[in-house]
Amino acid sequence: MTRPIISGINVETGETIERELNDDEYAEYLIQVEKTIGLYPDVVDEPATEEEPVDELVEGEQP
Amino acid sequence: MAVKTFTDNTSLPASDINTYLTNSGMTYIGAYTASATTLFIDGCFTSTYNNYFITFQSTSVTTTGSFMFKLRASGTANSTNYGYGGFQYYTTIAATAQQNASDTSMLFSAASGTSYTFNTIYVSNPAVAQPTPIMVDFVSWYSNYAGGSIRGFHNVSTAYDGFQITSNTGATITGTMRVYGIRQA
Repeated sequence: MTRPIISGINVETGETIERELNDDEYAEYLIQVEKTIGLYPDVVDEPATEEEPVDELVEGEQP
Repeated sequence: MAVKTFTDNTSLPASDINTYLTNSGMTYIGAYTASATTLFIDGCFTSTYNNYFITFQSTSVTTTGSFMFKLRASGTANSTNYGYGGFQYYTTIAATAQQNASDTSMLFSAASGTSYTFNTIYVSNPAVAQPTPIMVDFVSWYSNYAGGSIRGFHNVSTAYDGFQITSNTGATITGTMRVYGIRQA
């Protein structure tokens, strides 16, 4: 199973880096995702529109 | 204070134009656009500037969630002691408070699907080994969410040379980060 990707640039050297998360980063990633699971509603594929708001957040809900 | 005060009917030599370009209000340092779970820019915070201005625009996320801002030193993110407070705003309900005394990041915004978000981040003295003030303002075109603002500190006395943005749901983020140094003259 492939790991998530980290991607960025060092602007001092101009070097761009794109690689899979290393062991430490992946462990932190898993902890974070586990902590957050269930906090959010299903993915909304389209931005909200004036005519058709989608899945409104309710008072007290953490976005 | 102005670098020079111009008067009517005088020439504008190239040297003056160059002086203004050199001493403009903000100096572009770098940018990066990608799709990944972690987007970063390293080598952008140095002793050249005290304060920095960052813009971050995202065009999609694979899972609904909020963004996480972390400081980086020598390629490694610090994930402790981000203390902040602020508000989230909505178009149909009252604002809600958001605060944390010691989080793993500065948590900000809300993004879902192809909702566009625009975020600005001020960072003060990140390259100095002292607690780092961070201010984040954000707008998100998502449901009835309007955006918000949070202010706080990274309460660790470490010098940093970069930053990263991730999602708290582990989403792949598509976006562009730009960083500028704020002129000190």
